[in-house]
Amino acid sequence: MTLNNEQSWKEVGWNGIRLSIPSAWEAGRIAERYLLLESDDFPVLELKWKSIKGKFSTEKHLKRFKSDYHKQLAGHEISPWAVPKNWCDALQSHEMTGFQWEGRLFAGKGLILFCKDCRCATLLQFYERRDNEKDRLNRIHQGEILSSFHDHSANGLYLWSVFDIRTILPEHFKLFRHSFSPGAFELTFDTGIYRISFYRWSPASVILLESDLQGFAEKVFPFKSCRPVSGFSGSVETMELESFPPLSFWRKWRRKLRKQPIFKWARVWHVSNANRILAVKAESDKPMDFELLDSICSEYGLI
Amino acid sequence: MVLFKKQREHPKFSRDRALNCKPVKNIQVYETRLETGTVMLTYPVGTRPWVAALIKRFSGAVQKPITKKLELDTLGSAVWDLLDGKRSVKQVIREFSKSYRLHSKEAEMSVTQFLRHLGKRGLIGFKE
Repeated sequence: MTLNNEQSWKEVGWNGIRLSIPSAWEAGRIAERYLLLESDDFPVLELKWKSIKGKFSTEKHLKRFKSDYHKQLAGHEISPWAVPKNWCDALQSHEMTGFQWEGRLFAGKGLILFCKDCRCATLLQFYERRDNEKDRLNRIHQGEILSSFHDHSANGLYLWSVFDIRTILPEHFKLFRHSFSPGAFELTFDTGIYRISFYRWSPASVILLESDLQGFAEKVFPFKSCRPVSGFSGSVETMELESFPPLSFWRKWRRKLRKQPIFKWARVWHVSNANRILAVKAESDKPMDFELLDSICSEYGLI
Repeated sequence: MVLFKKQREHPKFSRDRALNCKPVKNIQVYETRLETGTVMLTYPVGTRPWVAALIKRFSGAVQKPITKKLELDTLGSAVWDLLDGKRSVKQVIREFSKSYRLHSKEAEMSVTQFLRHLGKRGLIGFKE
């Protein structure tokens, strides 16, 4: 993606928020409704958001922000700030209030945004190291970043894109669990009917030294009485596992009471050019919709 | 009697400075290449003087140096091979990430954690 000719950009999407950032920026901290983006391991942009029920109050949000950042601000005051025109133009559909603060090491300029359409309040702030020329240069990107900012989607599809994984999911896929450990990423979503998990492992060349893809699939998804079956999704070779045990009425109910899914399905594939292994796992009490699972797998990939 | 001992202040060491340090292998560590291509490290473990004295008293012999063995996995061996005393931690991370096509953040986390572990065991030291 190119917004500015000199700068290469990438898209970040997390729990409803979507924006374009310089490709050198990377997620440093991720929580359910929180993103801290870093450049050269220093914070550059922070986003925090939540949906608002009832009346929205900027003052209340600023007050909460002050108490949250009490330590970081070390007694320094948050002052109101006149939002520049390019920022206002970039976020025309939002109500906004500007603020700024100066700490010992960092200074911040930010906005409290409120979108009337989705009733999402976002605290967005750009960090700047005091006496750092590179951070000052980042200012030229701020308008472009803000103009790419979205807190809801018009078509009901949401981008999930962090580090090197990317997928597009419908709105009713709610984030249930996430973990980003070195070598193993996991994102789990709950739809009410299905629990869908996305996995990414690396480096594949080392993982596949011990066993082949079939062995690895069996190891990570130890479904009872089930062997991985080799197949193809497009031109990519995949391993699929299915566990649909024929259960008696009482055993089905026992599983339901224990909240154990009856139907399990997983697909594992090797992206050899990126040295990664990807997988999607689905669990449910109801029979699987394979068309849906196919489309989920086709959307899931690497950046 | 001192009831509240003043906590010793640790020297401030920036992240950037730490990444620019060069890891150096302990010369007392003996490395063996296994058939699988991985590395087995054999290193001496120091005993406390009073333990050594006790052993000497009861066994009557001078204690032989105790050694421990540590078998590194494929990735650990790859990092170990990159430690030449000339490359900085940052360079080791970069080369490790390049050779396994890892995400830079991911490579940094795993390499620094591994080097910290080696450092704690006394298998490597760091020079600026």
